Amino acid sequence: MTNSHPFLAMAHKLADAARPVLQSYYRKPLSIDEKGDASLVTDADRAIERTMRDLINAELPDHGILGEEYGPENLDAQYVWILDPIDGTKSFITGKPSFNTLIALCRNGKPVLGVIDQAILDERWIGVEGQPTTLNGNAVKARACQHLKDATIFTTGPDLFIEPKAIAGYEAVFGAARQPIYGIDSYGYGLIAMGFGDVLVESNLQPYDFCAAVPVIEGAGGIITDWEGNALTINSGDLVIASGDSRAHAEGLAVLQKAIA
Amino acid sequence: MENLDPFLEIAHKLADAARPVVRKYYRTPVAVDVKADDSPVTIADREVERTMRDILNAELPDHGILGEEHGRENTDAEYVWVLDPIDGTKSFISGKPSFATLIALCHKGTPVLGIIDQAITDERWVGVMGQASTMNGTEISARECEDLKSATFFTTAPELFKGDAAKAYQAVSKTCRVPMYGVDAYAYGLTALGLADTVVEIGLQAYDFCALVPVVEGAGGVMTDWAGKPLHMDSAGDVIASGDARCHQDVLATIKAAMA
Repeated sequence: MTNSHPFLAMAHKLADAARPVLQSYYRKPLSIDEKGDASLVTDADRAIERTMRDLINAELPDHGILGEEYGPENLDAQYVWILDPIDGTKSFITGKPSFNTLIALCRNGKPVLGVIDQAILDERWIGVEGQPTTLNGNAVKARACQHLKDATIFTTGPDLFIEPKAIAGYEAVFGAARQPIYGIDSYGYGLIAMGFGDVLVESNLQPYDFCAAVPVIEGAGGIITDWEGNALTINSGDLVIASGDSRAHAEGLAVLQKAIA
Repeated sequence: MENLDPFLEIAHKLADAARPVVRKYYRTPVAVDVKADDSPVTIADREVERTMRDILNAELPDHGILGEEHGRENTDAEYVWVLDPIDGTKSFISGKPSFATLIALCHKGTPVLGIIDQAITDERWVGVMGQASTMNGTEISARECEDLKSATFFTTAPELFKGDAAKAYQAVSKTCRVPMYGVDAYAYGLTALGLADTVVEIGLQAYDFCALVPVVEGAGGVMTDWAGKPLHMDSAGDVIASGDARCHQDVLATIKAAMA
């Protein structure tokens, strides 16, 4: 099973280039800065994003770029690459391989191609709009989960829900699910896409945290939206819910809406 | 106590035998039963433990065994093996490679040898009382961390702390620098590697913590119950592991104050 898209080869090239840089920093002493938003950034984050940007600038100079570590470039372009060199920097720093390199391509603001790449476990999920999602070249599929009460639900950490609305939503939806699993980072999208989890809820996300997940989740038969049920674009807000089954998703949305009303 | 080297060889043999069984069931649709205490168990848990018990029964028939899935055999023996075939069954079922096979040897109840084995990432931590801990054969050591406010703190899930214990969790997670979740026994391995500073958990069983003690201590760390007492096969299951004794004291004091 292979995906096809005019820019898929470029997406692989970016992920291939990111891997050795990431591996060279993994579990080594790092220089860590605290960004203004209290998130952490390492030399590894910057080196990986620089590597990917240089490739895009050289090969696709009319495409835009939005990345976590460097400023926006040409966001009015038809095609914009959205890059998170290391999603889950805290996990990366603690040597826990749930972090990922996230690469998305948006066409007119809509994510049409997404890569979730785990360099240590050698796992690469590829999603292309309208095509089946693959993991290392094999098609994967989300599983059926009719009700939230039967769902395995993922998030990264309870402390990451900070606004009162976000906390209320988190508590309600986790209270209604069967099995909470923490510490997941964007690896959770990959697990849902292959049928090993049912729902993922996060807050405080940026477009580079979720754009790559959209084609991966949808191509596996799942659904990913904001907490109001709107499709995600490059301009979406920070609240995200992803599910393998649209029925559990609808129940999750209903619980979130009631909690934050 | 006898020289532990021959027993270390057996411990490796157990971990080697467990790996192909774990891998065979990883990310396959496995039937999940729910035990009386509400924890999930799979055919993989049972088969891995059976494999390890068969080796112990054949090679060390006078040693006792305490395992998660198949109960107690001869646990009054001087030496008792304490086995958790898959610690982190919930992670295993979700296809998340933070679960581990835990193998401990206790001498008169004290953990003297421990293995944390991750079959998917190919990582094996080994701790032997009085020796430096290793990961895949390389010596490792925990890092310095003066106090809780500088610490990266790990636990599995907030819901596992109930009543007064929830107050303790709140105090620790609010005081630490970075709270991290969800990695089961793997967190103790990261602490022994010097990548994290403290782990606080409650409600563990002997097979969840015995293997961790020699690994953490052999890396220069400290592991006790919430009252600061050394862990023993019969300890209640409230545990703290830290890479630096100063941070450990701070965690103990924080918990004591929160529960007072």
